[in-house]
Amino acid sequence: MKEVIEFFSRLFDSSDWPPRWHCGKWSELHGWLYIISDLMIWSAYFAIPIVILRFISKRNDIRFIKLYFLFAAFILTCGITHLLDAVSFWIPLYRLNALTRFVTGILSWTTVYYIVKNLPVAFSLRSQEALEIEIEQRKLAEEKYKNLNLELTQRVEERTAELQKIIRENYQYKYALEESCIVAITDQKGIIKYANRNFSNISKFSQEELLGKDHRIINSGYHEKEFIRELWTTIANGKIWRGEIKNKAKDGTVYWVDTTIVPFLDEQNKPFQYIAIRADITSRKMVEENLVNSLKEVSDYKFALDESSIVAITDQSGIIKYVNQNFCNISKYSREELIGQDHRIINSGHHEKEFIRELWRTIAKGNIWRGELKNKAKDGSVYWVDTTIVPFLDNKNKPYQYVAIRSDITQRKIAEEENMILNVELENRVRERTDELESFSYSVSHDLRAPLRAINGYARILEEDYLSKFDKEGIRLLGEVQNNARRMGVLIDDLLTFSRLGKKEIRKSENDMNELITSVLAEVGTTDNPNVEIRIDKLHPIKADRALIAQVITNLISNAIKYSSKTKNAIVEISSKKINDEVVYTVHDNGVGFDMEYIDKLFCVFQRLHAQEEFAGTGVGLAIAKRIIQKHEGRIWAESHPGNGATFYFALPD
Amino acid sequence: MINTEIEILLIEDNLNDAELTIRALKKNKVGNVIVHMKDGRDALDFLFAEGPFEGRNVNHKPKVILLDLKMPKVSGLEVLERIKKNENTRQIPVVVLTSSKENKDIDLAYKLGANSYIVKPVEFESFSNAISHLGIYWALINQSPD
Repeated sequence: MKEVIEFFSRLFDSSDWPPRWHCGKWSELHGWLYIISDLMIWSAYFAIPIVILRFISKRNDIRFIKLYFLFAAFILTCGITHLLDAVSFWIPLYRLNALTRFVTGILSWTTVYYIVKNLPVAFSLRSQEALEIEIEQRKLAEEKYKNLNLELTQRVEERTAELQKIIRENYQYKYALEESCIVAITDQKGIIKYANRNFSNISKFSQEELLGKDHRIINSGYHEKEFIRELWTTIANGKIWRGEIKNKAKDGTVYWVDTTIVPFLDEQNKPFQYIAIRADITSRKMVEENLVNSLKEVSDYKFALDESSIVAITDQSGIIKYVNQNFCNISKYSREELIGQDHRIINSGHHEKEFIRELWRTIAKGNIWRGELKNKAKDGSVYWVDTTIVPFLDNKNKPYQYVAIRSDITQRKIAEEENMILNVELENRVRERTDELESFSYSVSHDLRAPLRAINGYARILEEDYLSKFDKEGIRLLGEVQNNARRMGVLIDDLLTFSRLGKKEIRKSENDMNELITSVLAEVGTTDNPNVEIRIDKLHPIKADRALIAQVITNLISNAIKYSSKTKNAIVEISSKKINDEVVYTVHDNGVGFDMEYIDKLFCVFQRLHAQEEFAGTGVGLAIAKRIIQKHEGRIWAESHPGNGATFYFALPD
Repeated sequence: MINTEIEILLIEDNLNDAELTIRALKKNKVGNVIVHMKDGRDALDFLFAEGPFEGRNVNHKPKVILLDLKMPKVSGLEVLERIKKNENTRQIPVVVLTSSKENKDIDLAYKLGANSYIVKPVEFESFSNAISHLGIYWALINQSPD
């Protein structure tokens, strides 16, 4: 023990040994190589623990930390031994050196112990490369994880947005539904638990009136019981029911609703409530009803048309697409023979090409064509149809089909043709008659006049050369011969005038009637009745054939003068008046007049109401006047009372 | 008679008319030499010295011709046409006799060169007057150019 105490008390005592330089033979090089090497080892062994400590202090994940400390301590002490070795060349602290080496030895073995103890663990530690690979993998995994995380976050965000949108949309749907539809919710028994404003509006019941009631409140009674039963069966079974229902509002008016009833089911799949969504389709229903009526009307028309007319429909190029039974009946072709053909199949060839071309031009322009067509039936017989072709136009106003409606006018056409033949015959006959009349007139004017002239002439010779041989009676008889011959001449002249009027054409011109009457009077003269007073008003002018109207005036005025010749203060008045679209001229006299009983005969040819002895005349004058006025599309009439004069009127269109 | 100078040639088929016409003319002292032809054929033969009148001096031309339009065989219009087409007879005034003034043949007659016309009145007196007036006018006053 003493030795130990002494050892430690003289730990730093170097007096027992010479410095190393003096112990043995050291060459300068050998000694310094030794010293410097030891110093290098010491400095290095001193630096290593510092690095280890720094390493440990910087890293908190170090395992086997005790080993690190042991290792640092062991190196450090090991370094100190080398330092002490170098120092011992001058100061030989062999005790301290020994102690240091002991400590170093202890630390070394302790380290070895720990190393050995931890060896299995140390073996399990991966190598650097393995570690790097693992780290790489770790990094990748981490990356992947990060990405996944990001994706997940995104998805969550998207989902959230979607959900928000759905919620918003749902809200909007509900709003739209509430606004647009008639919504009601009932419990499983049909008792109304909710009705929206639209429901109230259309049913005219307030919401309070509706709640707690069932739908019988708006039942119109229109639907059959079976219909309602089917509805209930459907929804009670959890199925959606759709249909159109006619309801009755509070005020009794009815309305139509398109209805969808959706049952909501509980856990046992039993409906616990129904939502009924309705849309007002009253106007559509009305339109539908009208449409149905219209369709019926149209089909009625079609039926009537098909029954009454010959109907065909062709496409724009004239190919027959449809024919009705009447078409088949009249044309004697079957429907199969007609469809796909054009109308040339029934072309009779009667009409000129230009006529057919004009027809096509008209309908191709989109205009309706009307006319009469002669067609040929299958058996070669022909028939006439009154035809109306109506083009149907597309959006571009181009005809895409034509509907031809025809009616059989064959009978009429035959009658017309017969009529025409008859007319032609009649015209011919009239012409023949006229020609006959013409030659009759000619012969009257020539042949009847000649003997008359001879009678007159020879009577005159008798009178001139043989009068002395006649007694009184003979002279009278000769006078009668001459008178009658003269009268016959006048008759022939009048008759000729009258018969020629029929053929004469009217040439109208504007006539100053005052001027015309003045010239007539100048010609007629008043020799028969020199005392007559003739009064002429200011007269309306007239558009007429001057020569013919002058003839009328001549006849009327000469009559007036003649028949008032036996009246004192004879007056003939001529006036005119415009009545509506006629001018009425009046010739009035205060002469003998005539008996209205014979008015019918007044204007007839060769009819006289006075004896020849009383008033001379041929009975043709008024007939001529009447014929002239009629040719002017006017009227002539007269009124009188015997002894009170006569008034003659004639009216001409202005 | 054939070769004497003729003052008036009357072409008239109606013998009564002819007799009365000639009487009227004579009575009014219009024509002393009046030749009466009773149809168109005879008249033409006479004028052109043909047929029964062959050898007649065609230069003995009437001063006026009174021509009835309506005649058998050759009508008055045909006679007129022949007269007016022939150089020798063209200058002779022709007065057409007709029964009616409305006869359309009058227009034709004028176109063919007739110089005037008379409507034969039924009454003897007017007839006589008309004939004599015209006869005098054409035969005495209205001298032909030659």
